[in-house]
Amino acid sequence: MKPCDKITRSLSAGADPAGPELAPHLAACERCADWAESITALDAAWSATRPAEPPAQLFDQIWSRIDAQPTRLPFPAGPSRAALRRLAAAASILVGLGLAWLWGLSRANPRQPDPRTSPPLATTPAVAYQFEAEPGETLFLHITPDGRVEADIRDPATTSETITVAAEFEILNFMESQAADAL
Amino acid sequence: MKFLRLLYSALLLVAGFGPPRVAAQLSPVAPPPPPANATRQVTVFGILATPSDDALDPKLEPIAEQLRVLFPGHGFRLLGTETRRLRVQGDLTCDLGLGYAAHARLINPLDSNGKVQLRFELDRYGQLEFATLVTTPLNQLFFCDRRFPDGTRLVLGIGVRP
Ligand SMILES: [Zn+2]
Repeated sequence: MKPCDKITRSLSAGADPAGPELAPHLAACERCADWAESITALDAAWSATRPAEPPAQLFDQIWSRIDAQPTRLPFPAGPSRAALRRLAAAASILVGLGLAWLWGLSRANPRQPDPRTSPPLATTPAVAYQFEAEPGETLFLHITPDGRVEADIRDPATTSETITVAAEFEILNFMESQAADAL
Repeated sequence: MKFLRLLYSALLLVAGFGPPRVAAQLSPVAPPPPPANATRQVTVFGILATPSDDALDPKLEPIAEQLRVLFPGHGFRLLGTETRRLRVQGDLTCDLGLGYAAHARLINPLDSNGKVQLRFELDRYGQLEFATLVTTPLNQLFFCDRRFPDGTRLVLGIGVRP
C-alpha cells in the first residue's frame, strides 16, 4: 500500500490528524491534508445534526412494507427514451467505446465471442446497459419502480462536490473493513 | 492493416479519448490483455435508505454523515457488505435479505484506460431484476439504487481497489 493510501485509511478509521503518526505526513502532503480537512468537516457536521437512534423494530417494519409492495421488475428492460437522451448527453457514456469494443471483437474472431466480454453466465440474459465512469465522477444508476433505468453522473469538477468524493471514499473504506471483519 | 489502425484510431477519437500521441505507436492494435493472474479487491454493499424518516442503523454511525452527503434526508440501514479479492471472471454475492442479492463479477481487471470492468446484477429469489456492465476507475464507488413505490430505496454500492 502506498503511504498516502495508508494515511487516508487511518484517517477513515478515526486516527487523530494531529497525532504523531499522521501529523508529519499531513504537514508535507497537500493531498492528504485536504483529505483530513474534509473528514474533520464531515465529523463536525455529523455531531451537530445527529438524529435519534431508531427503535430496533423500525427497519423491520420498513422492510415488511417493501415486501408487501408489488415490486416485480420487467427484465430484460431496455433503457427508456428519457434515459437514452440522458445517456446521449452524458459524454462519459462511451458509445464509441462500445463500437470500438464490438469492432475489436469482430476483428479478433468474427464467429466466436470473446470469453472475456461475452455475458459470463450462460443462464443470464445479456446486459441491456453499459456505463463508464471517469476519475472523480460518481455514477448513480436509478432503477425506477416500473423498471426504467436512469443514469446520473455527479462530476465534482463542474458541481464543486469534492466533498462527495471524500464521502464516497470513506464509505468504501468503511464497508470494506466491515466486510473483512465479518470474514 | 494500416486501414484497421486508422479505423481503430477513428473509433477511439469518437469515443472521446483524444488523438493518440503518436499514431505510429498504436501497436499492437488491440490493447494488451491483462495478466491472467491479475486480481482486484471488490466490495459490494447494500443499504436501505428511507426518505420517510431519518432513523439510523447504529452500525452505520461511522459513515452517517457521508451517507447523508450522498442521500440527503434519508434514514439508513445496513443490509449487507461483502469484500473479496477476485480474479478475472471471479464473482462475489452480497445477500441483502428478503430474497434480494447483489452480485459482482470481475470482467477486466485493467483496460487500456487504467479502469476495471465489472458485471453487476441484482436479483430476488434468483430472478434477475437488473444487470449492467460498468467500467470504472479504481478506488471509486458507483451506486445503483432500486426504488420502491413508497420512495424507499435499496442502495447498492460497488467499489474496486487495486
Ligand atoms: Zn499523502
